[in-house]
Amino acid sequence: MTRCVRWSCVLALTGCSQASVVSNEPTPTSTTVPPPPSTAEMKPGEGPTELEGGDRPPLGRLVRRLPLDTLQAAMTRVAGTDINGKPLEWTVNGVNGFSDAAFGRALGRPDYRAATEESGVSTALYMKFVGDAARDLCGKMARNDLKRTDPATRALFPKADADGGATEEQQIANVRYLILRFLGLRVAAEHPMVAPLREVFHSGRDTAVQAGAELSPSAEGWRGVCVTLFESPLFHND
Amino acid sequence: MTKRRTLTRRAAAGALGLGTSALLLDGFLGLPHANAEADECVPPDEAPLLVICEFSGGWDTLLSLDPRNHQEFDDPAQGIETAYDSITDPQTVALLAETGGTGLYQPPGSNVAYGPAMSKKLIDAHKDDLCVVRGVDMGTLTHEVGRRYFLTGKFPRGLAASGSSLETAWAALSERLDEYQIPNLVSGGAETYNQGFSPLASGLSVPGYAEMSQALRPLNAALELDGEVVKAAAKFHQADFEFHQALGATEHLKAHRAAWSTARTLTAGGVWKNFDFKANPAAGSALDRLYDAFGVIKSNPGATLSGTAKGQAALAAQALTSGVSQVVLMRIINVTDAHFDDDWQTNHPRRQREGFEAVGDLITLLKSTEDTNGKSLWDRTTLVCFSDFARTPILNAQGGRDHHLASSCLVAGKGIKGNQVVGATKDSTYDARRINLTTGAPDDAMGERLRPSDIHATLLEAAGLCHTHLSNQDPKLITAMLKQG
Repeated sequence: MTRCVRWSCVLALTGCSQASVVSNEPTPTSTTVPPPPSTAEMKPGEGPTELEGGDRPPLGRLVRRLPLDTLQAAMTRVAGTDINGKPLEWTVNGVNGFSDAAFGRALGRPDYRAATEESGVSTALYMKFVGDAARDLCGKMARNDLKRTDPATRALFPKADADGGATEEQQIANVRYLILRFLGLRVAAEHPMVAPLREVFHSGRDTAVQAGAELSPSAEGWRGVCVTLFESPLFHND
Repeated sequence: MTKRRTLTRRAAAGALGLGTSALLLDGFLGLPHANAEADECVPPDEAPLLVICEFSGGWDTLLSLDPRNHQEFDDPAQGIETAYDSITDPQTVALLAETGGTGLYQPPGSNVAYGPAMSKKLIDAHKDDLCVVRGVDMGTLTHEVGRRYFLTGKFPRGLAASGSSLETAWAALSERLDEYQIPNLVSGGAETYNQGFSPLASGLSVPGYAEMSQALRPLNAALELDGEVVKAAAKFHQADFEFHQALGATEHLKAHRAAWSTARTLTAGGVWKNFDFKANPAAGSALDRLYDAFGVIKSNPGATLSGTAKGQAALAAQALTSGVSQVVLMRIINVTDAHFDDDWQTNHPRRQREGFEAVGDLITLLKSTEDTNGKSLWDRTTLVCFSDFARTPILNAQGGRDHHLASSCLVAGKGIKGNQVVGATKDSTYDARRINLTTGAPDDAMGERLRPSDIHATLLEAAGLCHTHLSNQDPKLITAMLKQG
């Protein structure tokens, strides 16, 4: 199931609507929760009643952190491309930040000499560099979006105006779009994820107004949401 | 200080009416079980510090911690072939000559004979602190298994580690996690494990000194989010959504949230300044003292510290002396997996010595550094050096040595009786011998085999920490290692 969520992100970006579906009410972009799957995907502790068996054993494999190569691919995929169609990458001193020439080793990529395995746990160092990558990529996404004249082609705020005039409905629509883009989850407008992300947007927008940031206040707000979603635990499930 | 009652195996057995038989059995066998008096588990008033040095690759203990007289043990037919005269590393050659061809270095006042690749500097300066434990049964010839077994004190499941690594347990059991910005620092690619302890005790892993400051500050400060945005993001991260439940991701979520909080706290602060190993530091500054202790070229620190044992040890020293970390686990050096003569004759002895020399510098610095109470940091530090396993006592066809079960380790520090050897290996096969846990002397008939879990329990005991997390290993206290035996 966890792989489903990961892949759903990629599929959603390619136009396939295979995402995990959670919604409080049907809307044009959301569907109802499907009935529980058959015994193959039942929760631990629930027995396959038709077989009159006992409780299912606990899951054999716990959710863990995604591998570095998958993280790199997922972040690049979600970040999209610049206005020239070139994929956006986290760069440090001109090289890809995930490469071994930058922080690949620090992030724990196995070298198959001294280390043959990668940790499956999020560590402070991992999160620190994910934060660096997110800040870099989200800034690039916002800057490129500001150059795009057709809102529909934007990666970070296609549903909301970039000049700060976005209505509440537009903000909610954009937050829902970003949750789908980053986490592969199709949620309703009332979903509990939406409000805290709007708060992130408002904080970013308001502080940018005061500080006179490089980006427009609205873009700065969406950059904050972008970083938050890249750092979300749900982005890092494997 | 809170007192915690922990449910030990003995308590559980007592509750089930089995306590008496358990006591009788222990009394009959005379075994000093590590859990026997662990019902009350109160952490000490001062945080005990810990340094673990991993010599990765599997070390040849004949060259350092468990040597033999080259003039008596150089015949493969007899089971041990020292082959010290095959070594080409110049300093090892020099020490062999200095010892009259025996290869045994035992300075006046030392009760322990060390091998020709040992650091004379370490022994001369700190022989009274060092306790050599020989004949540790590693139970494996696989690198990953041996390394993880010694780190956690629990035999791995297949290749997968079982339990928590010692430094994680140490940090968690000390209950001082809120006093240190990075309670558990792990460097050089050493592996760290946390099974069941607070995520705050998990190791922060960095490759080395050069990456440390980069790991602790934003790579691009201009891209940093405003504090209000980070606060709002924190609310989102802390919220529980049904997706977490559906994925069964509770543990992942807990670790992720703790890691995120730690990362944000670290990058928002000035901890990185402690690890800004710049050139030409101000005379008399802490960094200047550090460079002096490790013989660092001040105009070009990277030349001494980059990719070296001294670099790892200097990072550990800075973390401990600046009060940033309580425990440090470092892969201090890769001694090489010396199956071939080109490694075994040159690199392997040289790297062992470099590793031990850096350990000596670290001890010297800790001894000369006072904490806020005016006491030497070394007074509350425990040090352990280990490797995956040992190497065979006879050279193979390639002129190197293969993997061997009976290893050694070097321990020192708080509560540890120094200038002694505990345990032994056989003169015939170099296999581990059973020992009397009270005297540390070999006792092939009635003695016990030494295992990593016994060493964990004994070190924790010496530092005043409990070791109930090892209870399923039934660890034994090696009282011979303790000052207060």
